[in-house]
Amino acid sequence: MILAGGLLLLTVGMGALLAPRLSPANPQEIRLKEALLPPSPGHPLGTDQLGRDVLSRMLYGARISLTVGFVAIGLATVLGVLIGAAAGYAGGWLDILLMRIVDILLCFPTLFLILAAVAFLEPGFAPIIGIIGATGWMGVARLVRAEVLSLKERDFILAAKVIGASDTRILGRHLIPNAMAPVLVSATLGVGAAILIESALSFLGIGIQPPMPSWGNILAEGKATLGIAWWLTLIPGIAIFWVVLGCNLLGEGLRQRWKPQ
Amino acid sequence: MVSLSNHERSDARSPFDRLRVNGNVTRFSSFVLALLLSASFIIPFLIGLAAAEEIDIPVIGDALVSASIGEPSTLIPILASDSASAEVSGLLFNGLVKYDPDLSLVGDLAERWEIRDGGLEILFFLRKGVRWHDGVPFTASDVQFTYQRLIDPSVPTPYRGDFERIASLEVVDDTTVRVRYKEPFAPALSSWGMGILPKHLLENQNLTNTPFKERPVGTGPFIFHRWIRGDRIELKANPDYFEGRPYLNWAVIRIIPDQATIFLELQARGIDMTGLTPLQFTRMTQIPRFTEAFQKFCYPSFGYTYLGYNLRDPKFQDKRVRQALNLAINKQEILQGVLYGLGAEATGPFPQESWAYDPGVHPAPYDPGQAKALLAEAGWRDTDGDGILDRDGRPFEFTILTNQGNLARELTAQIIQQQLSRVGIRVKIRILEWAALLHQFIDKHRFEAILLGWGLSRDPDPFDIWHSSKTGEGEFNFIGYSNPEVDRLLLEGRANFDQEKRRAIYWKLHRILYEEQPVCFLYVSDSLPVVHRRFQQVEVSPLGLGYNLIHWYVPVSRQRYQLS
Repeated sequence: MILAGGLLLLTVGMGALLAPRLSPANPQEIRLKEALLPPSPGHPLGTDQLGRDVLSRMLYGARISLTVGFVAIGLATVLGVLIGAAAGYAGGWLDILLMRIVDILLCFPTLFLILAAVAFLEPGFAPIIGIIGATGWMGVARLVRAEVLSLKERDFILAAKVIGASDTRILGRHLIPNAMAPVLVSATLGVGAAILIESALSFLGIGIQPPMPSWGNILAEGKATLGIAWWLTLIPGIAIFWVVLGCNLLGEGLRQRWKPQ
Repeated sequence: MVSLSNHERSDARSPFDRLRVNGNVTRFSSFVLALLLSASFIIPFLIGLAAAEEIDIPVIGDALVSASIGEPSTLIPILASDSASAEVSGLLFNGLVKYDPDLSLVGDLAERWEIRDGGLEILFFLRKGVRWHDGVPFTASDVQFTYQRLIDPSVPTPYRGDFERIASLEVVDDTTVRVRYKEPFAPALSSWGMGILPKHLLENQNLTNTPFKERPVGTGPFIFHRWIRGDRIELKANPDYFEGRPYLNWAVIRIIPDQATIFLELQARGIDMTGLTPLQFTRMTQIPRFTEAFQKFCYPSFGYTYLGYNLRDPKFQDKRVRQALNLAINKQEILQGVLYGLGAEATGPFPQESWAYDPGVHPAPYDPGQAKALLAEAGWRDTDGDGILDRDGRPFEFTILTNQGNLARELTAQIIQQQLSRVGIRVKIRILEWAALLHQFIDKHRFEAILLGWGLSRDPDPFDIWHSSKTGEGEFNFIGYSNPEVDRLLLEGRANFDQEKRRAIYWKLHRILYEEQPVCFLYVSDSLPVVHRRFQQVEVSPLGLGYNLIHWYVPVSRQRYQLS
């Protein structure tokens, strides 16, 4: 499972990395005379309504989607680990306060939270990453807090305290590293979810703004030509499926390896 | 009456779904479902059946379900500044006059009128026996009340300009109104096409915040039934309409903010009428299955699409810069690539169909070289070698705002972006939901450039769009254009009753505006409405489709929706 998931992600990752070499054309170049061509040797995945090469757009779109996925979840994970560890280790009123905030934020479906946030910001690459990151840390925080709560009662933490280790050292050297396994699993699953959210936002027109290609907005533009240009919706659809499946397989595999229960 | 249009379609009210009337699915729903499952062969069969019957006598029944891409922002006619609002409120309210299919003014709530004193005075004789939808009689005091609201500075109406020319409005008796103008005002009569409001329901109320907003009461052919925000507006036939009861029982306007979804709904028979996109018209509706079920229409729309610049922005204050932008934007490429040839290049503030349009204005050919030269003359040069022009250390870049759901505009914006990048201008695009664009950005003048359209009135007077006094919040000259010569011509044009003299004035205005380029005039697109074939007496006139909506009917055997 790890292998299969890893392979799926690797193919997309390589595609994104090598986009400038693999692309047959500039993804933003409009050639109206070549609009809506079906897949052919010149345009392996066809062209869109403005005559742009879909393969090139997909490859550059992969860069956007993967960057959004990984950076946003990186951000969410860092936030979640810090907040969760602080709550779990300090306990008392800080724990209560932070966990109630988490509870409140978890009450809202993530997509609605994001839609509300987007209304106040200009849509674009960085804001989307920020918003997905800022609304995705609550699960991680709970996970880390629970780990820290059980770990901090263990003997090796007691031993560290006895020899006079500082709180920062105990958290940084002992608690957080030991709590990382479930966090990595949830982050891997989260990447898939983040890519899906980015696609959904771009599909709704409030994510990545044209002409920057993103899988979501390629799909959104394709829906206008559903009956006559199947490749414009099918291809980004398959790509999103592919990468989300990759993340889920990898995450599931890691979970089984590290936590056999 | 001009309106901001969010869709190149000023008169199509459209299409269908399984209509719910008072919460009950129509009795025909299972039949409809069967129809959907095997639509391809059953529909021709049904058509054959109906043709055999050939019933020419109009009958009451059925509903017209149309689709609107934008949600109306209000149904109060004097506040309606966008086409979605104007279309729906036009079914609920009447003005004193209206245009007939050959574009002459005829009475609506006014039975007749007399123009006296060289055009300074109009005496309106109102129709007798007209009642508001709530049964209260319509009288001259309603006209007076509407006038008072229109000139009340606290009422945010874009139409005040037309009514400020009035010196006095006097109620002679219940059915006679005397209007005196301060000076001759050519659009005077046509300005009375404005929907009249009921005094008895709105007196002492704040128009922007009254329960009436949610439950409008008019005199029109349809009565407001309910408005489910973000979903649909349901109107029912007014059985006492003074021109006769509409044959259709219901007019339902579904709000579907996306053209692709509207098209899917159309194919799924959820909609009876809508406007097509050029791509749908030319490439997706040629199949017999579609043409057997729907009738397609194509005629020039009375309006145009443009790229407007915020002239308060120093970048756009130099005329040479605006002329350069015009040379750098290839309209023919947009016409072919986005409209598939279904439209024409716009050259000024009037569409080709208008008598005010000067055929002597020839659009400048696409010339990026000349554009670069003009930009250099205005001080925009690429001094740091990054491919983007700059002046005083600041790069030439701006953001184009346009509304969501209108793919033609989204694509046009992207083509303009590429064309301008060739002369060294960096353009960003931002697509916003219609109401947010209108109220948060346009009304408040928070934009650099906007890609929008104007739906125009038949009288060509474009005072509200170009006069320097119309630049306030919520008014139509939101680009902030100000030119004393244009101001003078606008005043002159509306002070003259002689069409030949007005023509000369507007031709001059047309030439000045093309030369000055306060906006880049892009294209006049064709209206491409479709209507389901079961509707009879569907006619296109210069006013577009739907002007005779009250005469549309469906033969009994082909009716789909029943009144519950």
